[in-house]
Amino acid sequence: MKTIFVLAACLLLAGCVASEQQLRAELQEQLPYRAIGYASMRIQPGNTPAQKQLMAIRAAKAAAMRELAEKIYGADISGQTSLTGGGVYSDQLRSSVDGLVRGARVVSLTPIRNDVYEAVLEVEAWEVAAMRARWPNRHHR
Amino acid sequence: MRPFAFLLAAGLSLVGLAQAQAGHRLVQGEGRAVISGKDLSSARKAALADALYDAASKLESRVRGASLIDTKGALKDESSMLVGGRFSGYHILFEGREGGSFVVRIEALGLTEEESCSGKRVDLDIREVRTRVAPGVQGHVQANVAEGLARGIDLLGNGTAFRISDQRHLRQTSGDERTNRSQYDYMAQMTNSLPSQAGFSLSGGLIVERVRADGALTNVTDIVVRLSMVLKDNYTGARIAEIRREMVTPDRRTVFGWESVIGLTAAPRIQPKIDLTPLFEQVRDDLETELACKPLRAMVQESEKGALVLSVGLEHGVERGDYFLVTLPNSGNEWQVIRIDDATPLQSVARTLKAKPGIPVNALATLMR
Repeated sequence: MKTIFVLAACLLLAGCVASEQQLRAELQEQLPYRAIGYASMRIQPGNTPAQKQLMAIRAAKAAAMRELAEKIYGADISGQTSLTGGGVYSDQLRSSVDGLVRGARVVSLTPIRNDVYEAVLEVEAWEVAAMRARWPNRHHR
Repeated sequence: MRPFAFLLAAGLSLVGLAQAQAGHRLVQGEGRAVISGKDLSSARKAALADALYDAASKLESRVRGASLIDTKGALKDESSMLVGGRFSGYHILFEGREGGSFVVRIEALGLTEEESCSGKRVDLDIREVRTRVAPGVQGHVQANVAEGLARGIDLLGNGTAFRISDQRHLRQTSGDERTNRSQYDYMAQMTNSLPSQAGFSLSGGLIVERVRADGALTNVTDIVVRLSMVLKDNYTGARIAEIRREMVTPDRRTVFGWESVIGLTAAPRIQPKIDLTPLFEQVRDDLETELACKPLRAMVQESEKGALVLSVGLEHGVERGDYFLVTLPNSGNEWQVIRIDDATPLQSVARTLKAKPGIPVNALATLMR
């Protein structure tokens, strides 16, 4: 117990003196934030399959970007479940997000089967820390 | 969608070279457009616009989304992405047909409002600092101020955002330091304190005077030290800020007529001691505020076959692996990105990432973080 206390105190002290550069170096070693988005080609606007394909790519990227924003800033979730006589008659779930994302890069854009596109985006952990510091109240709108 | 994207991208690409405090970010973008019939030209334009849009989305995107799920399993899902960014230029890395689409890949130089405010120190030359002492102020006050100034300059050396070079023997900065050739530059070389071409300079003066604030019965006299310094950008000659501070030291506090009553007139007066440390601590804080978020710039001192020597090193916070952006305004607004291979305390060795354009000596390089 005593050892744990001393160790915790050391860690706390070390944390206090850690410079911003050290923090940045540590963040650079962390894994990036990654998000995946999917979009169907079939429901996209466009006269030709190629146009639908391009729109699907864009939609998949936007979906991944949204997931990224949720991971960075969090999301507002509200739900309501109503019961009658012990049985559920209404169940609603809302979620919303609003955030600025910087430095996101495309890791992959892959067609899955013939109709769906998958976009994988990621952003470095130190960028996330910078975004959160700059817009701490961006989420929860 | 396509005309909108094109207009947006055209707007983005037309933004000028306003680089005042902005940081830089090099981003890549890929754009695709369907080739309708044999209209390659339109497809290329659309693909380029798409690539710029893609690059801009990497600078900054505002994402909004809302979802609603209910018992029927119905899903209402809305997402929007508003892209915003400014570019000072771009290069096309690749363009060509890929299947039924035209593909353009670009490398764009984005301007961001953010500039890293830590981990770097800019050069700050301390130039002429004149001291003017009002008539009637005792010699020991003058001596105190002279000593306080020396200590104060020493105190500025502890700044985290800047490193100072004491050049008080050189005259005040005026105009553009790069082109200032005079006997004064000769003097600078003789004393081995060359002005930092890509840094900043501070010059100004101290005024010491006695101020009376007597009441009906009281004799109140203070020694006031007023400091007025101007911070200038050596590269552009621009005036960045003016720092004005003052410090009051109590001198005399007596009641009229009482000195003679209690026999103090014959006794030697206790002289006030002027300590300028608090004044220079404020100046140091002001300088930290002004300079912390300024981009770190360097001059290219040597350039040969893609190998460069820059005027900043470890003492400026430069590390191996850092990237600098070199803008070449005389070469059609071209730019080149260089990577630091090695750093010594005051210089660093870098190499260009592309063969062209070549970088001349005295080009300005800006740290990208």
